[in-house]
Amino acid sequence: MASQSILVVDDEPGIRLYLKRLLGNAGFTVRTAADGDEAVAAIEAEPPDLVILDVMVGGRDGYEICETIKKNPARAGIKVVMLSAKSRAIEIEKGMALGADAYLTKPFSMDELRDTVRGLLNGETAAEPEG
Amino acid sequence: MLERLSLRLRVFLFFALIAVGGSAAIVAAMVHLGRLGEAPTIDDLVLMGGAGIAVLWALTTWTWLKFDEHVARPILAICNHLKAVAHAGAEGEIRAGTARYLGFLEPAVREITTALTETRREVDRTIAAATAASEEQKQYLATILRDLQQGVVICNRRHEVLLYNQRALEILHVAGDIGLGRSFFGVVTEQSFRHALTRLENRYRTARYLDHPDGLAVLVIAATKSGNYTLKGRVSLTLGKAGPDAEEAPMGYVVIFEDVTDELAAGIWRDRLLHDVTSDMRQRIANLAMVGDLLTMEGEIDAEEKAAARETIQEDGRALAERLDRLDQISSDLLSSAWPMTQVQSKTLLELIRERRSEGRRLRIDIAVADVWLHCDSAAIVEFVDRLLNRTAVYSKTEAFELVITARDRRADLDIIWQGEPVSVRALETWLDERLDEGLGAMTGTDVLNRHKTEIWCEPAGEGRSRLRLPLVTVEFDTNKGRGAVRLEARPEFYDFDLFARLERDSLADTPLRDLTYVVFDTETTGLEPSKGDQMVQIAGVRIVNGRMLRGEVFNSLMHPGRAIPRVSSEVHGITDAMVANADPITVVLSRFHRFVGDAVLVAHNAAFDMKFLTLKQDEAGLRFANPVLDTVLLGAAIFGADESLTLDTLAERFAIKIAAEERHTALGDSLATGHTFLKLIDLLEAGGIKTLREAIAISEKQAAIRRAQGRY
Repeated sequence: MASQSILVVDDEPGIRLYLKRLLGNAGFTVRTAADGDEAVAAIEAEPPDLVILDVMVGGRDGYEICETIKKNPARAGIKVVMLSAKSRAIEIEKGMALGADAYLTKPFSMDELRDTVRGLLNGETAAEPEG
Repeated sequence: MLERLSLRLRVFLFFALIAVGGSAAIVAAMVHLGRLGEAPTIDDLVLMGGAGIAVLWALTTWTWLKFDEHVARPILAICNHLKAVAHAGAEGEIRAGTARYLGFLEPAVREITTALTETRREVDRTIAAATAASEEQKQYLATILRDLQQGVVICNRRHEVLLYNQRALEILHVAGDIGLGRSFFGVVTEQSFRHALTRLENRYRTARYLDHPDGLAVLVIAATKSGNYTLKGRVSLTLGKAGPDAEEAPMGYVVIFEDVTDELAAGIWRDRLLHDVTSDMRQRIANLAMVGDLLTMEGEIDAEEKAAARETIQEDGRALAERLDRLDQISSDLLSSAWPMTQVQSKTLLELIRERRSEGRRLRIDIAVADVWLHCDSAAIVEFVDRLLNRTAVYSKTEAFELVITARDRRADLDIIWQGEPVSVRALETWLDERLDEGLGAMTGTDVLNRHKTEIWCEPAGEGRSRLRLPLVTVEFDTNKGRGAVRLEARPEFYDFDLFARLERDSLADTPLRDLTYVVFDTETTGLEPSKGDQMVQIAGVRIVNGRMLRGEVFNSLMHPGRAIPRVSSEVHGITDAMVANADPITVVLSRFHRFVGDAVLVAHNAAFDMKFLTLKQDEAGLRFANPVLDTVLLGAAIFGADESLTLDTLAERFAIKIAAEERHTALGDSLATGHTFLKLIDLLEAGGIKTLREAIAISEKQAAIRRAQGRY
């Protein structure tokens, strides 16, 4: 079975590097995008199985990218993990309401992210962190 | 028959009777001597002379008695009646038959009384009309003061209260300890106020206030006397003229204050938290920097070091995130406390939104609402939601909306629901960047969200509908902000600016009666004999300041007598064992009453009785009622004569004071009746030259001595 693909969207180069290494070590094929427009282009070119989205990314923000993915029936199967420094209960609820499958607040641990990604790709239900 | 003769003829007849009777006695004696037939002896002459004198004395005594009964006493009664009418404004009619034998005097007195009463009423009507306008302004002032959120107290230079509002009572958490004419320093710590006043007076004296940014005002932080509440306020010096020719000078000061106890506690808590959080964060960052140094050091690190580094990074990273959340919470609290949030009922908010219609669009808006109190800036939310409705109407080409508020745990969701597709994230974000109404200071939707620490999003709502969801914070709205302070029912007299002009006097005894502060009180008891174990069951009092009885400053409390109340007593005052079962013991109530009285002069009807009960328990309560005491019975006796009936009912009737039957024989009802009577008595005492407390006490003592001699006291 071909390895599952993940698109990491974050404007922080350090985070992109870190996630690519982390998820790559876990056996996933990882691509990265530095802003919203680049992310949408990457999805159109080759739809990934899962997108890790920084909410505050430049260009189209994380909410809008999520909306774009979920609105398109052909892409709606793509899992979306939102990653954000916005950690209030209402902000998490907003992310989930807009179609995210999981919402992780920064900072997060390697194990937490790895488990969330594996869970979603193996068909488990959405994980929502405690507010 | 005699009543029909003229007064002059009747007086003439009295004297004619003495003359004729005396002459008849002398003639009879002489005739008797003539009949003896020989020269009368000395003994005969003495005998006859003595008989004549005896008859003359008897006649004179009888005439005097009749004269006293029918002339002197009625004249005295008329005199008292006229005094009461002239000086105390009494309107009662003279009792019929008082001067039955004084001809037209009684009808003449009645005519005078009626004429005077009419004139007085006319004058009263004129004055009433003339003062109606100023009274209206006073009412207006009183209403404003009552509705102010701050406490307001105005004092004269001796720190006596001239004005206070209801809010001041609530903030100071006092009911009986503050009152017109009483010292403000009885309820607040005085040092900070004295300091503020010294500063202000210096500023005034050196004329620096003319160009000082705060003028004649200064900020003050003080505490209530109990130390339980912290107050923040402004003290402003009041300037005025003591007389028409006097120069302007400080007359007193105004204090406007609020309770900052909770804010101060929250501030202290926040400072401590900030300190703890930031110092902890400093330590965590130092740890992470050290681990960074370790990992980038030249040379290999072993597996154990790597594991330790990893643990530190994870642990400190998590801890830093948690500290940041707490800092975020503190900053959010500061932001929302700086922004004027109010409590608004959910239904009111939705109705305000529905009525806003800023763009005149024809929208049909249905409302469904859970009844909760929302904590928000309602003006901003109304503008914001109105804007969203208008934008959505255009975006979704719809006119029908539902506004729904759903209560959740400590929050409520305000949903705008319509039939159609959700609004895109981009469209919504564009709307959020738009400026709202100019009146809101060019605020955008995003600003409104930030200030309310909330978000907004659009999502499907099922059955082809969509909703914009705006979560808001709810509060348990405390409508009882008084925190135990007593609310007064009637609008009481909260001000008396005449106290500004009250001159300072060294001696209470030489103070005019009208200027003194009194507490008129009455007690109800288990019986009439304190020496045999009778006790008080109720005490009530009302303050008189500057010649005005203050219905807003009353004391009224039941107390537990520590024994059963005999039924015969319950029938008089209506207080039963059941009613006092949960009342405080006498010593506790007395202690409160002692604070209420302060240094006022005590007044009671038959004061000796009430004072006996008061002093009976004062040692046990650790108190001393050393106040001067005046008795309306003794003062009444001094004015109307000791022989007149001086019951409270008679005096009240004489002064045309009306006591509701149900109030009579209640401690408060009788205190009020005694108070009214006492004020009338002051008028009469002044007219009779009794003007100071010393003089009033002197005539009372004289009357007490007379009554003691008569065995009536």
